[in-house]
Amino acid sequence: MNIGPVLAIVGILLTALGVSMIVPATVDFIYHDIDWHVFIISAAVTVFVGVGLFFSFRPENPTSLTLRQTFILTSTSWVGLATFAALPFAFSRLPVSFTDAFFEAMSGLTTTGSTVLVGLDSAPVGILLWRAILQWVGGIGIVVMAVTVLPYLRIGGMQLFRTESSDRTEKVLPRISQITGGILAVYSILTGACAILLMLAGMSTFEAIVHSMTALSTGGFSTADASVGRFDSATIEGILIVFMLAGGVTFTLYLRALHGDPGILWRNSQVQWLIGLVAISTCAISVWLVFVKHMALSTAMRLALFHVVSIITTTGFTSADYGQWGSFPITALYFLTFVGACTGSTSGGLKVFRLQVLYELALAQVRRTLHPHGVFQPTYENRPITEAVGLSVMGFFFLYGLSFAVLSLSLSLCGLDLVTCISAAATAIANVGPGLGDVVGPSSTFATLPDLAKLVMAAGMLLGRLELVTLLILFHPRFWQG
Amino acid sequence: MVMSRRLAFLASIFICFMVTIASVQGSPSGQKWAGKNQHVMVIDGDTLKVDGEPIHLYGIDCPEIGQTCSQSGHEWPCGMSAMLHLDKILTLNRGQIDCSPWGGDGTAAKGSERSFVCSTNHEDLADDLLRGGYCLTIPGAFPGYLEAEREARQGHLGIWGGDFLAPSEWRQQNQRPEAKP
Repeated sequence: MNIGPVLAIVGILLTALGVSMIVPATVDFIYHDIDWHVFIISAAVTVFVGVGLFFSFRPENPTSLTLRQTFILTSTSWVGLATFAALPFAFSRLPVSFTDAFFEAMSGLTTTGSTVLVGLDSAPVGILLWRAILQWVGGIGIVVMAVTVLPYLRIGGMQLFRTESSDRTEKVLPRISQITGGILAVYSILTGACAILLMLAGMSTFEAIVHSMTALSTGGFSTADASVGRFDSATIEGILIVFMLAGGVTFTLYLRALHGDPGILWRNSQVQWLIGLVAISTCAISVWLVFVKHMALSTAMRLALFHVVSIITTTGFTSADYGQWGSFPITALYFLTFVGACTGSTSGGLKVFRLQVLYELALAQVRRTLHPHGVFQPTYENRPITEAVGLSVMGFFFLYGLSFAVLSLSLSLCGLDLVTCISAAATAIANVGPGLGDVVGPSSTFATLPDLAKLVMAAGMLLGRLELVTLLILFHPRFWQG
Repeated sequence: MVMSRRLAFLASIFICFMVTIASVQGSPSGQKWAGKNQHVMVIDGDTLKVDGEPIHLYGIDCPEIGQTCSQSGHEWPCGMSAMLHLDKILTLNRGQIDCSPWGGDGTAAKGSERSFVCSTNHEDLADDLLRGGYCLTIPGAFPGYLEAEREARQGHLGIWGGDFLAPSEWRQQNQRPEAKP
């Protein structure tokens, strides 16, 4: 297999990453932080490698990538970008090892939001901005990948959206580059709107920009150790709730809404399910907090809604230590960790549409049992769910469970306790951020984990972000044959 | 499908209502410990000041501010990390701190700090610090604390993931007052 074209594209991406390091360098320079040169050195190294790869492997006659090359490109580009994105962390005055730096960069690019950094409140502004940039870029990267690449790779039932893309969206925006441009524009506008509102709510300009970038990307990095809890502002939490949900909605829906069909945002069944799940979960947790923890109703609703939205959209902001809320909220939030929001959004997790497909399949199965001679065709958005899609989704669920089990077991080999193992594995594979328990819970960081556990988690983040199959298929011997 | 839309509509109204309620409930108060009108300041990993009075957490000894530990060949500020971890717990729990004196009137055997068992939202602060591998127990600590330390040591968490100088030794070497009960 010729991987030259793949390496050439990785070279282009690395060059772009290197150029983007100029932004935090400039900000550090403006703020008179000596770490500005760290970004310049990192940028130089990254651009040098990127340009070198491109010119070394640039094909003489450019052709489309094959399916296998696309799989390799998807995986190698994320690993390569995370490796070089770690350089500013490793070179900075922060007391972190390269393992820590790689963990932070992978957590940023995959929009996970787990951090190994402590003392964020006094960290260099360039580093804080770099973390936000990584999440913002990772967010738009995964949306574009979900629209352009995954449907054609038929990952976990994503072929459903291949049909949707060709049947509907392309009538409005005929070319993929136009769709990508449109998505980038919507993403930027929403980020800008969020930043302005956060500034009006009392955040500094820098804090507002960082939090808007990490809210829309559903990443969850903050400028403070205590995350959003540092601001203790219901207004800020309200704004972030809206924009975390906005980041969890399929971005092509915004394009269709802007092109004369605003009702599509409302009619889409994924959005309806997402809203329904948020409402039910918030309601149940609020009731618990009122009657068991004796909170005031308004406080209970505020805390429950913020954390339900933060977890289900896989953002990972925290405004309170929900690890102290008792058994029901912790269990509910743990299961919500796996759900994720809509496909084609910046969120991770299983994705609502896969739950819908499984629900429809299960419903059809129940009906067949009740009426053995009846014919029941499960549907999604009024279209029949084919056997191929059903098998693909079920296979995805199996692989998700298997990957979760392997990650948990790997972490347990590091000597970690059960709660830490299963919550760290879940938060990594679902790209959420905080875990549960005293070690990796919302009031902790991942700094104290052993290096091996950090590497296992970084692998889990990548696995979840690339929808499992994209990465796992590389380990199949037949992939490399022929 | 119509039913689904109606349910989603009701859910949306509910969420909008909650966002509105949540947003108007309070603006930044600027008072960190408004719940009990206490002013709590974190001094280091095992010492707090509540309303100006120094309180030492019973049963643990944390690396001092400025002390570093090594892990996989690199130094990390384990003392500062313990302090920041304690500060984060207290910030996210909005100052719901309860402290009970340990050992008579709580006066430390050595030094002037008083020794307390403190919790926030029923979470024992010392236990939390031990489980994360930020601190170590002192002789005579609760069995629960020893178990928490054992788990952290087994998981190679925090200071147990590499080499460190016992805080008491570090204080001696750096001529800091010995104030741990």
